[in-house]
Amino acid sequence: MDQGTALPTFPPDALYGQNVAIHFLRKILYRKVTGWEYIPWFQCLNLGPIPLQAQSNRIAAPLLALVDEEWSQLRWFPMDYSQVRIYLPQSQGKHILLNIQVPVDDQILLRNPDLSMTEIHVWENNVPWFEAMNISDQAMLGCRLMAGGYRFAGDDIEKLPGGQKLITEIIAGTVACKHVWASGVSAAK
Amino acid sequence: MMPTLLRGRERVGPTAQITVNGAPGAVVAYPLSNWASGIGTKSFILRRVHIQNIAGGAGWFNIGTGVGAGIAVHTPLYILNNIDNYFDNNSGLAPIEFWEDAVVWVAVLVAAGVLNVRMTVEERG
Repeated sequence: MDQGTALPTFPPDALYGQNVAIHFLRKILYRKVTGWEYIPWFQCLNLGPIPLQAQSNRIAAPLLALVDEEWSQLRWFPMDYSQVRIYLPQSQGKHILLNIQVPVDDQILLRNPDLSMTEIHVWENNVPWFEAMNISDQAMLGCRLMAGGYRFAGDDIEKLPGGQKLITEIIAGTVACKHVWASGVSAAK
Repeated sequence: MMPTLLRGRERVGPTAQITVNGAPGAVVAYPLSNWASGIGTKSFILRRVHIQNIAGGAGWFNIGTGVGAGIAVHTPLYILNNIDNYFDNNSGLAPIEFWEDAVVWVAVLVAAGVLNVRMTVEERG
C-alpha cells in the first residue's frame, strides 16, 4: 500500500533575534524572537459526529493554546470530507469575502499542497474555533483537523532598553519586522 | 480517490477465530487503536480480509460492529468451504471507514467448523 508522502514543511516567520509585530484584535504586539521550535503535525481537534447535510457547533481547539507571551504559526487541514470554517478567536471569522466566509475542505491538500492558504497565528491561549459542514448525504462519525508549524517565544520590545525607539523605527519602515495576524482581519479597525 | 496526504498506515489485525454460529458469534477482527492517552481520534478503512474456512460450510460472511451481537456494516460476502477466501477493494470488499472495533461472523456455521479471519486495514488519524 502507498504509505503516502510527508506533509510539506514551511519556513518559520522569524528566526532568533528578529522582530515580529503580532496583530491581535485591535492591538499590535511587538516582539523580538528569543526562541522557536517546530510543532509537528498532529490531530488538534475532532469536531465529532455530524448528521448529513448539517453543521457542527463552533468548537474551540484547546490543544492549540500556548502559555503567556508565546505565539504560534500553524497550517492546518481537515482529514475528513467536510467544509470547515475557522474563527480566530471565537467571533472573528477568517477568509471573509463580501458574501461568504470561505471554508477549507480536505481537497486543500491537492489544491494548495503547502497549505500556505491556511496559515494562522495563535497568540497565547486565544485559540481558533472551528465549525464544520457535512455537505454529504451520509452522516459523519467524526471530523478531524490536523495542524502543524512553529511555536515562538519572544521579548516585549516595548520593555526592552531602547524599545520605544525601535518600535518607532519599525513603524517608519527603517527596521525590518514581520507582521502577522493572530485574529480575523476586521475592516472596522 | 483519497489524496495521498490523507492516507493512514497499514495495520494487520489479530487472527480472529469464529466458532459460534450467527451474530452472537461475532468476534473482533480489527480492534481500533483508542487508548485514551493517545492524541487524536483514529478510524480505519477496510482494505483486505482473508478467511480460512476449516469445515465451516459455505455461506455468508459478515463484517460489522458489536462483539457477540454483530450489526452488519458491510454487505455479506459469500464464502466457500475448506478454502482460503480472500477479498480486497478490487474484489468485493468496500473501503468502509470504521470508528470502532470491526467484528466478523458467519450466518451459518457447520458444527465443529472453524473460521480464522485476518483483516488488513488502513488506520487513519
